[in-house]
Amino acid sequence: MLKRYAFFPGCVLNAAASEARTALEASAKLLDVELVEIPGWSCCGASHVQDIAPNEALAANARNLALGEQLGAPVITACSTCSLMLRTAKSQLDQGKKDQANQWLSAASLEYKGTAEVTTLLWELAKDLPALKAKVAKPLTGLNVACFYGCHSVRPEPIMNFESSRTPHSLEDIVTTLGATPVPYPRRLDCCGFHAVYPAEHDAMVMVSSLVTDAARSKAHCVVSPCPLCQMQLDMYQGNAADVTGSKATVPALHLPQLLALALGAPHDSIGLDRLIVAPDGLKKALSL
Amino acid sequence: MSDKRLFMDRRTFIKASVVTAGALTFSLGLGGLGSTLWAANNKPLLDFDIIVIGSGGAGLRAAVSAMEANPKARICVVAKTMPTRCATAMAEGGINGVIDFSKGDSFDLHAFDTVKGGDYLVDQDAVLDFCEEAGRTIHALDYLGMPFSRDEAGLPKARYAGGASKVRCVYSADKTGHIVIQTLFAEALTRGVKFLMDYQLLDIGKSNGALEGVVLRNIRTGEIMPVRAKAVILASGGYSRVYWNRSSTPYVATGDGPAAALRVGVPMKDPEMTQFHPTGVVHGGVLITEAARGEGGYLVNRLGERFMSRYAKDRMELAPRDIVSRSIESEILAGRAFGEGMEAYVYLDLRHLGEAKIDKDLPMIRHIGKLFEGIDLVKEPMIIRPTAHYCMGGIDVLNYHEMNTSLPGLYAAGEASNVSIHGANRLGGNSLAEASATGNWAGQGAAAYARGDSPAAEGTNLLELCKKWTDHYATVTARTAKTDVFAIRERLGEVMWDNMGIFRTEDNMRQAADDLDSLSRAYEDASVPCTNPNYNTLYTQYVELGNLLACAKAATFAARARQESRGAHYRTDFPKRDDEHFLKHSLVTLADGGMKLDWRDVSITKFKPQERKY
Amino acid sequence: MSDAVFIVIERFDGKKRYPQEYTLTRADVHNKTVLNTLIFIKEHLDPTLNFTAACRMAICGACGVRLNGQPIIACDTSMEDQLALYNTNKVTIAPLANFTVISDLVVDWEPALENLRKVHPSLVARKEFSKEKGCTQSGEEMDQIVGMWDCILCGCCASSCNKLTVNRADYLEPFVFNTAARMSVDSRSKDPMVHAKPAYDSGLWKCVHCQECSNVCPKHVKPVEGISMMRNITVNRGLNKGKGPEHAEAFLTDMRDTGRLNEMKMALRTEGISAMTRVGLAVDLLRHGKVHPTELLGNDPIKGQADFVRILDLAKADAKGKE
Repeated sequence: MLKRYAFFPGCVLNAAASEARTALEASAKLLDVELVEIPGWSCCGASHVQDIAPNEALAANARNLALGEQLGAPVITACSTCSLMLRTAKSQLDQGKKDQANQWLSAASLEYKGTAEVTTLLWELAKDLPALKAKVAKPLTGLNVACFYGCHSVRPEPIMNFESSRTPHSLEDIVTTLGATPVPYPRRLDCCGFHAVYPAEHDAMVMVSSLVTDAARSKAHCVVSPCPLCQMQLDMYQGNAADVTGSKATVPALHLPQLLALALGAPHDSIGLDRLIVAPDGLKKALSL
Repeated sequence: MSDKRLFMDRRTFIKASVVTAGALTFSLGLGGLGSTLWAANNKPLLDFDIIVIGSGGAGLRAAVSAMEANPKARICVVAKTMPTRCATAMAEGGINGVIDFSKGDSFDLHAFDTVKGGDYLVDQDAVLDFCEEAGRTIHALDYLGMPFSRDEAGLPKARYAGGASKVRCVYSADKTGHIVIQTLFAEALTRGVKFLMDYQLLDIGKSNGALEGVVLRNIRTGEIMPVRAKAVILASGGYSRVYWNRSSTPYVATGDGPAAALRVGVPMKDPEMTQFHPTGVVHGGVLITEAARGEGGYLVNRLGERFMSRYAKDRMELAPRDIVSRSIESEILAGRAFGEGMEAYVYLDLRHLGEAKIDKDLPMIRHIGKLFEGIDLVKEPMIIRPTAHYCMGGIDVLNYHEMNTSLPGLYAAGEASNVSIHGANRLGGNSLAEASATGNWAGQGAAAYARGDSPAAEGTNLLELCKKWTDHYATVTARTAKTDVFAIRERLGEVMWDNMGIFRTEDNMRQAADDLDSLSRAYEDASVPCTNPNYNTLYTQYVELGNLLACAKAATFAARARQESRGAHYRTDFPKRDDEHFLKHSLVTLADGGMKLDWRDVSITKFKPQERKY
Repeated sequence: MSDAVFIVIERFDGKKRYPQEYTLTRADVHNKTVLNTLIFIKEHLDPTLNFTAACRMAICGACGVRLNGQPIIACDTSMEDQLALYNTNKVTIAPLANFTVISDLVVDWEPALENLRKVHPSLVARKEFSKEKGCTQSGEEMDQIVGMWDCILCGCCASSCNKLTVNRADYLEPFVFNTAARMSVDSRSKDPMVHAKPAYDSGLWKCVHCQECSNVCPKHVKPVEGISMMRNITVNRGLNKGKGPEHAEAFLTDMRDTGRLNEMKMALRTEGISAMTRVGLAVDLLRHGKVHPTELLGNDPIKGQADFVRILDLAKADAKGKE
């Protein structure tokens, strides 16, 4: 990882998934990386504003990117939907919408220059595994992990443009580097249903249930996701999902920053494991916590 | 029934009784054609006013046209697979139609170009109406939602096509055909056209000198069924697949319509007129659009020459297809090409057009170049060779206003038909126009006919044919013979390419005729070792091969009889056009276990036959 | 590297499903597309194998199949490239998912046709156009839709659609949404709702935005963008009630309010009073400290919120011009 990033937390890292932020900040300290929060960042639109007010969503993200550029460091996100929204906006801006967007931004004396790069925690870790390995203080030996990418960390491939959307391996590589064991997880690229949990609740519950069952079948101690929306979906709704499908499987869902922090040596009671709704008892046992 | 009954075993007798009982049920006259007719096994026989065989551009246009003419008619379109999997989808260059009269173009000029392009075998009464219809078609397709490439005035944009004296080939990038079929399919769906999907035409039934309907095979279940209809429109596409893999056409276009028409005594007209498109990939026969030349591509031989100057000094690469195809093959024969034998080729050089132009107007062929030959034609010249592409020949249509055949109730449209609009050689861009125009006319013709009562209400022939095909399926799938379908098919392609290809002679064609006879015998003995009736594609392909053989024989028969060279039919033993003896359409009919040849005069009205030079 | 190549095909004989493995050599698949490999198997190894194909050049859409779970157009895909991609000498070919299988790799398109009918796929042109004179459209307007017309109805998007996989009954295939969208935004269209309303009625808001359709499309069509466009169109024309639209509106409201989301408020806005009935979830959320009751009071606006709203207003004004 680089020394310094313009940090775009996204809305859920501040609220319902604040444990991810806590763990991320702890990890950053241990990795000797400075995360400078972009001042005044706004919600990215989360694909919902994009649906009903595409210009406003583009404007919001043009502003986010312009603010990020001012920090003179790559913009880093720790939420897959945020990364997709920011990268999509950047793609639109760079392919012809820049001038129009800058007209809007001029109302706040801001300008999108096109110098901002948008990256993710997942990619930054995966780019230099030996450097990560060197910082692992407490390898997660004996921990079986189902690596769940979700949708927006890899698709659509032309926008995300980091690794194959069909055979990605960044998450497994990181988990291995942290000392844990990635287990076979056929549904690792399926959808968790987060973005349609309101209009298609039943379907989303079936999706969650399938993901949990799959992880349980592989004897995973936990599922890990680089996206807090996926984590929230698998965690918050695991009980509801089991009610819908009658499944008995339960597997705790962790944020990538939490596993990262643990392996880097952060005290296990400081990274919000107690905020998980599905208690990570199996994980604690496997790691003797 | 004859003495044969004495030799039937009990099982066959029972089967025959069932069939006869079914026939009796028919003839007891269960009301008019509006009622449901029942077979002896108590399953309803399907019954329509109009059946369209084939779901390409012509078939879809015909169905919608028939619905417009008669909204109460019961119509359905029969397709061997999902409807848009057809040759129409593959057309690339564009669709001809005069919509801009400001630069000296006219329907007359389009007609003249078509007549000259067809080497004067075109029926001129039909072609003038065709060109008017083609112009109307452009606006009609626009109104249906077809997205054309546009000019500054917002009107459909046109480009040059081979043999055209004015710019009138309207297009949508390099996938006009795909756009056309999607537009027509959308219309058919919106209008409520019914489809019988995954059904194969086996035969046409006739009695009392008129149409009864068709025998269809439900490919999904294997069920063979009689389907009554007042009118049937054959829009099954061409038969270029007689050249098997050295053709640009889809696997599904296997001359089903023309072969079935032959079997009920309807002639094929000019079957020898098979067009070779100049530019197909070398490995296989997939097409590289004429638009590549329309946009300015060069044909170059091994010596670096733009060799078309030798054969068509004025039009060069944009001479008509038959001339360009012969030119390329001549270069190959003269040793000025690359490679040898089936791997011989020349260059199609597009590099000077630049990447931006190619990606905007010819994106698909860049992809084809990479996929089939591993060549990026932005950076290197593409390698090409002629490929069998289109059949000017087809089912003999009598009156183009209705697209009817000699069997009352039977109609034809699209590539399966021959009016003749294209004569001895088709111009690029005229096929999509033909699909729409003839589809429209056939739909109207069939709709008018279907308002009356059918003289062939009984359907006895259909039941006989059902039995024949049911037995056929049982026999061939039980047979364990030596030759297989695929070997016969490969050999058919070789025989036709070698002996009925771009250059023909009596000796070669006689050999082809003999070889085709041997292949037919092998075909009768071939095994189809797949007994599961559930979507038995091996049997489907076996039936298709039979149809290809029939078309190949008819084409060869007529090719030998036409002792001249005209358009796509070129004979090294008769290299000149002979208007005195052969300004006529050939007509091939099945008769007495063989074939019979007749001739019919060409309709010459406005354009006196002249020497065809470009 | 071993010379053997194993092609496993998921077969269906009309009654039962079973995998069948065919052994080929590297030479057998050299320079062959997946389709040519299937043809090779049928012609040389097993004539009973069933699949559909027509054009061989990726324009008719007939030969969509799944290879190692991923939908592809068989005639457009190199067999050797696939072996390299998965670093293997054994691959599995299966029929497209989310279609009823008729036989082997052949699937049933009839339900898809009926779904296409639902969205009125043909243009209903504006009054100033006619069958006799056609229409006019600018090059820019044509460019807006040209990508959406690349769809060849191959079914790959439907195969990979996460929502369809869970339940087909209340949804449409992504290519159906694409068909509706391209007519909805065609400048020649009289009324986008002719196509967008039936899409709305058949699950427009149930798309989970998983991006599979756009990612997997061999023709680079982006159905998920078409879905997004139609959500915009239908909301702007008054179809803004229901969980889907209201959830999206809640985001926009929060953005304009404080710049960021307030989940408690959002849940209430989206679900109304029924949010209270999620007793188990709400209690769990509070117990685990995931939300504080105080959040109901709202969070502080971001730094520069007033300017932010000005920016949004300018963006919105530009959008109005286009509708």
